[in-house]
Amino acid sequence: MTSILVRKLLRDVRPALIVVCLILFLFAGLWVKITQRVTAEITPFFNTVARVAKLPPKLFEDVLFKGPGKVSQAVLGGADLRFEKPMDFLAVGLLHPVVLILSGVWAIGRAGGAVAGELDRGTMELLMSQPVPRNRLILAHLIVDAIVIPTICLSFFAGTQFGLWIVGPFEIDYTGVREALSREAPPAVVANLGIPTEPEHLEVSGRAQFPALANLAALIFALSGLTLALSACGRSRWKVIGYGVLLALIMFIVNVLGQLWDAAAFLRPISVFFYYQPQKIMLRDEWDVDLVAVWGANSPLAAIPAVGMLLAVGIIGYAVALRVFTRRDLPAPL
Amino acid sequence: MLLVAEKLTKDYGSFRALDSLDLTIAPGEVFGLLGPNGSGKTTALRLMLGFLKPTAGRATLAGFDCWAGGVEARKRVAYLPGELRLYENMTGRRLITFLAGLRGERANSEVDDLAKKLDIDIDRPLTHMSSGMKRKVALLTVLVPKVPLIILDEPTNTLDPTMRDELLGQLKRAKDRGQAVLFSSHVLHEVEAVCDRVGILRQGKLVHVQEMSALRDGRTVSARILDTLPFYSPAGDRLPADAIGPDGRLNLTYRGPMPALLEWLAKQRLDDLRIEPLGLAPIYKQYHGAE
Repeated sequence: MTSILVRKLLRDVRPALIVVCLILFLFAGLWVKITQRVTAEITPFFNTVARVAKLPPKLFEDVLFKGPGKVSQAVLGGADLRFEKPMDFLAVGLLHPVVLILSGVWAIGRAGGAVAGELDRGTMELLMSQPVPRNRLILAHLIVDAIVIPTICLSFFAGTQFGLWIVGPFEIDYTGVREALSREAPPAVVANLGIPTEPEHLEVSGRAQFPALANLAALIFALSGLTLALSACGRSRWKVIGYGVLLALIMFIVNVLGQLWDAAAFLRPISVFFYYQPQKIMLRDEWDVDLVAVWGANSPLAAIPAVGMLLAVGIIGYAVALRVFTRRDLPAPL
Repeated sequence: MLLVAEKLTKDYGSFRALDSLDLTIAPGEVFGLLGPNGSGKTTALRLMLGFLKPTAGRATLAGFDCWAGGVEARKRVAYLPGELRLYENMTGRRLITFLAGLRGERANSEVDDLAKKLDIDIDRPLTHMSSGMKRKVALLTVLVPKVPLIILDEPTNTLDPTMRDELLGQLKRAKDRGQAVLFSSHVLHEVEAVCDRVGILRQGKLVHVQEMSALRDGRTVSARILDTLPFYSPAGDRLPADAIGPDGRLNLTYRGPMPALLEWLAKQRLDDLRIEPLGLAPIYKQYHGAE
């Protein structure tokens, strides 16, 4: 019976899943190209210009992240971002609004429809008039999440691999810069600037992204679980989705504010986005979030596993949904 | 008894939607629930399906509590909702197969036979079907599983007269197979046509239960009196005091053999005579006349 429900739910989400996976696949591929352009072309150019003008090497980043730019720096992963490192920039792809919004919309939209949507459409009584235990419906949604969320993450991974294959090796070619400078300055001066004559090869690997995708999967699951709990209490899909989006937005803002403003940093652990740190997993293999950094030395825990925490939030959401849904009245369709 | 409701009550806040419903339905019985909108028909049916948790009392189906043992209870019931909403992304056949699968059954060749009888193409997507066609598909999903009880909430909504007759025929066949049927309706003559017993609900209370066999044996006689009437009725007992209405007409309810009635009428001097089968209308009007 559960497998029949799962097959039906998968069939329902199939068109939207294909669209989401395709967008993420294309975005990930495009992000590789952007990474190559930024790290192998734009940043070396600006760094060379800075070197010629004897300016501080980090001037470019300082100008970019000055004032309101700090918000985008916080959103993109704080001080972890270094434009000359392909892996740093590749990791930013997982924090890009396209990925976050698409993941959030998927998780909230699907879970919002799980109970409230069936009630809203009036199909819940068709389903529940069959000998289907209510907990089986929640279980079926859990199984669908377990199938669909990794599929979404794998489509992103596949997109990155595809992008790396299309773009090829990341190499900084200084020929263009050297020629441009040669037109303005004598060759002896240009030679003294220390611009490399051979192409510089940058190390980049898509494989490192794979473990970080576990963090993305856990984030989607956490948002899905929280929204499912709301869905189990509601009877209008759009109202539940509205509350789900509001909750996610509040948590996102709390996390960003906490990054920008030290006085609000203690609030960050109540946001699921605090536990979404794919860069740290991808670049430094750090799976724990540092609670001492936000709660100080008095923190009851020094660190907490990011993926574990997000999975726990999702499971709690599912548990609440199970408890509510198995005890509530099923109202007549609106 | 197949279905037993004992003091079944449902409150929504301070509003009592169903008030201490006591009801039993035997295997193979067709029971009709009558009442206007808001009288508690749908609430009663939803409680029996385990969609709602009773505020007080309980309903059991084949001994299984409809709320606490809802799954076991629902194994024994097929339900056609009043507000019909189907999975529009499915074809009729896929819906039937899906619902049969949830029951652990397979849709067999009977589906095609029934679809032919009901004149529907079940291979069409539901989204391309009219509301009447969708209702027929839903009806199929109810008629296919051979469960002890079929519950239908206003089943003839949006059905054309031919299909309505077909549906009532199917309900009779279900009864012949030993299935019990519980259905709600506004339409008195449909209920009269198929039900063994009828319950009338008023403001959440079951105010009357009528054995239809008692009505089927009865006739109402209405005539203009041209002369004085005898002291005795056709049945041989005293003519009731209210048999002569304020307009001077004879209005009589008679239960008994037809020849005796005709013989009695032949002896009277009457004009404008009408003899009609005793229906539910007078009983229904007694409780809902002003509504």
